[in-house]
Amino acid sequence: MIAPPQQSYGWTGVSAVVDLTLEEVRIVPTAELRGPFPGGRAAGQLVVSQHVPRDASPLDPQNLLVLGAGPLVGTAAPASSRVSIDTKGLTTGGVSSSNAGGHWAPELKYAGFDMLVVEGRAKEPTYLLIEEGRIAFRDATHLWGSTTWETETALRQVHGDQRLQLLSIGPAGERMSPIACIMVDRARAAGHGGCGGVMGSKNLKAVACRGGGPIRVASPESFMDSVRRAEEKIAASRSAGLLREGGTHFRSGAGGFDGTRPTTVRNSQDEVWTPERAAMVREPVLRARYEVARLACFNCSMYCSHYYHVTDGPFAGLASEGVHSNTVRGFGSNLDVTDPAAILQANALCNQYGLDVDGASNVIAWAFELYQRGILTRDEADGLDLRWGDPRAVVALLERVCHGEGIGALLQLGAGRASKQLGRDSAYYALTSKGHDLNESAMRSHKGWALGIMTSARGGGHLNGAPSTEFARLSSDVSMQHFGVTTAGIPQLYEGKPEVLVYFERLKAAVDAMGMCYFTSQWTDVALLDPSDYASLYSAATGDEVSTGELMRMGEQVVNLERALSYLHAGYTRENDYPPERLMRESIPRGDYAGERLDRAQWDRMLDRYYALHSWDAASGLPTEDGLRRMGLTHLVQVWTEGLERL
Amino acid sequence: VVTQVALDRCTGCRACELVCSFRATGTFWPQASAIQVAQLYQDPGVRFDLTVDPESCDLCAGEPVPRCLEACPRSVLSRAGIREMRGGAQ
Repeated sequence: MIAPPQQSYGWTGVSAVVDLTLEEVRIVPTAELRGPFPGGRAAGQLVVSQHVPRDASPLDPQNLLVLGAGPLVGTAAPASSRVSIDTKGLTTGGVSSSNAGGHWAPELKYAGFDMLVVEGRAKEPTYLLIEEGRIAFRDATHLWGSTTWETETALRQVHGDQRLQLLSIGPAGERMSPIACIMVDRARAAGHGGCGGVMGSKNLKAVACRGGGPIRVASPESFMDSVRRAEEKIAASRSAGLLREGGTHFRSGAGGFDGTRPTTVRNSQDEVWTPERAAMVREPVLRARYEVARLACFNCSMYCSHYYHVTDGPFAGLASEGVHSNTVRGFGSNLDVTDPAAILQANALCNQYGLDVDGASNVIAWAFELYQRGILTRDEADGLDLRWGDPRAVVALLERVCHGEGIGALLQLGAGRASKQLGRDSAYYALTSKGHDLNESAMRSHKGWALGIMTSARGGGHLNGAPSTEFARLSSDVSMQHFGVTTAGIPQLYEGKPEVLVYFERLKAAVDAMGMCYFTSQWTDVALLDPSDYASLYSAATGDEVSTGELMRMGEQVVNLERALSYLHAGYTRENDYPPERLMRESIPRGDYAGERLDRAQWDRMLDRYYALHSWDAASGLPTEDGLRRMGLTHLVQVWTEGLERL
Repeated sequence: VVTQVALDRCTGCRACELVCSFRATGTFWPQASAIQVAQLYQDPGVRFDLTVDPESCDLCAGEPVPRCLEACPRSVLSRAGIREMRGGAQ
C-alpha cells in the first residue's frame, strides 16, 4: 500500500513502472515521469522519447507501453475518461499514440495511479490486477486465446466484481498483428498503431483495475464553475446534439445524417455512394431495427455508443456495441456492403479479436480490389469469391484475419506490409500513410483534412489535427475569427489550410494531455470547448495556473516531440508526408466533387507553409536543433544532431 | 423492484456518482457516493443496477434539486425514484 501525496490535485501524484520480466513494480512520482507536461499523450510520448532505444524493435522487451490518465481524468470535467496508450508503434516503426474512453482510466486513478509504464516481457501470459495502490502479477495462461469479451467476463467473475474495469487484447494482439488494438470495456478501442501487438509481445493479456479512492482538485468551486460553463456549451451545440441523437455514424458515417457527406467506396475508387445504398445502412435504420440501449463513457453527456441486438437473418443473436462512422465507412461503403447486420458483425468481430476496425477494413478492401483486378486469385483467397458488396465474403475474410489463418495470415499485417510481401504492383492499391492503414473519407476533396491525415506523425488518422471545418462549411467570417484565414470552410481550396491544421494539432495535443474526449472540443463544433476552457479546467483542478497561450504552446511542444520521434525511430521526413499515389493520380469520378484529386504542386505549397508555421526545415520537414531547444526538448538535441548527420 | 427510475434510459456515465460524492466530500470519489451505478452486460441487453444508500442520501436537503437528478443527462432519475431506491421512505 502506498500513501498518495497529501497535496496532489488533479493527479494522484503516483505512477508505477511495471517490469514484466522481473515481476517488479517501482513506484515513482508522476511529476518525475510527466516532466513539463500535464499527462496523457504528452507525458507518454515524453517517456517513450527518453527511454525507448532507437534501435529497439517495437516488439522488443525494451519497448515501453505507457498507459496514462491525464490530470482531469476521473473528475467532473466532461467526458474525462480517456486513457492514452503510447509506445513505439508497430505500424509506423515510430510514433504510436492512441486513446480510448470507457471507464478504465478513471478507475486507474481511483486505484491510486496516474500512469503505468510497462516494460520487459512476461515469461508466461500475465494480467495485472490493480487495487487500492497495489499492483499484482497474475497468471493469464487460461485466458490466452480468449476474446476480449471472454476475458472481461472471466476476470469479473473470478474477482467477484462487476465494476472491475478491464483493458485487454484479443487473439490478434497475442499474435502481434500490426493491426491489433487494445480494447477497453468491450467496445472502446485504442485502435491506432498496433498497440495491441506491442502488448501481446509483452505477454500481457489484460490490466484489471478497481479503486476506491478520491481525486482532489485544487479549487473545487472554481473548478465546478468551469465544468458548468463547459457543460452549457455542450448542451447548446448543434453538433454535440447530433452526436447525442445518433452518434458519430448519424453525424458523419457513409453519407452523414443528410446523405451528402463524401465517403469511400470500393477501396477509394469512388467517393460517392448512391443515396439508395447509403440509406440502407444509415444510423436511423440501425436505431429502429436493432438498438436496445445507449451507453456512455465515463461522465459523458453525449452517450455516443449504441448497443444493438440483431434478431433476424444470418446474424441473428448478435449483440454488440460501439459502431461508429469509421465502421460503417470501412465495412459498409468502402466494401459496397449494404447489409447493416453484416457491418455490426464485422464490428463485433474486430472488438472481440482485438483488431483495429480501420486496419482490418482497409486491408480487406485492398484484397477485394486485388481480386477485382485479377491480381489475387480465388484460390489464393481461400476459395472465397471476393465480390464487392457480398456481406458473406466480407465476414468470411474478416474471420480469417481474426484467426490469422489462410489468407488472413497475410492480411493481418495490414495493407502496407501485406502489399510488400505480395508484390505484383499491389502497393498502389494499399492506402496507407507512414505504413499505417487509412480508413478515411474525403481525402481528395477536403484539402486541409487530407493534409492533417498525411502529416500526422502517428501515420494517418484524422484525430491528430485534421480540421473538420471543411465539413462544417464554416463561413469566411467565422473562419477568420478563429484561424486568421478565410478559407477553413471551403473544402477544395489549398490556401489557408496549414493555418487551420496547426491550430487543431495544438488543441488535440492539449486535450489528449488532459485525458478528455476530443468530441468536447472545437473540433466537433467551433462553438464547443476552446483552449481557454481547457486551461480553466486544468488550472482549477491542479492549481498549476496556465494561460490559454501556454496551453497551446504545450500542444506545439508535443507536436514537435512526435515529429522528432518519428524521424529518430523511423526516419520519416518530408517525403513521407505525401498522400498515396492513387489520391494524386485518380480523380473523383462523379458527384459534387467530381474531378477533385490532390495536386502535387499544390500539396508542396501546403507542406512548405505547414513547415514554416512550425519553424521546421522546409527540405526535410523536421524541427531544427534550435527549434527543439526552444520547445524545451533538450534531451533530443544531441541525438538529433547525430541522426541528422545520417540523413 | 424500482418502478419510478427509468433504468432503460441509463447510459452508465456515472455523472450522478461524481456530483453526489463532490457534495459530500468536496472530492470526486465514486465510492463515497450515496448513489451507485453498476453496468451489467446480459447479452442481449445491458442491465443497470442503481442503488441509493439511505444512510447517506438526504435528497440534497436544502437544495432545490438533488444533484444526481440535476446531473443526469438522460432524465433517468426523479425525486420519487430516488426515494424509492432509498427504501421507500416518503
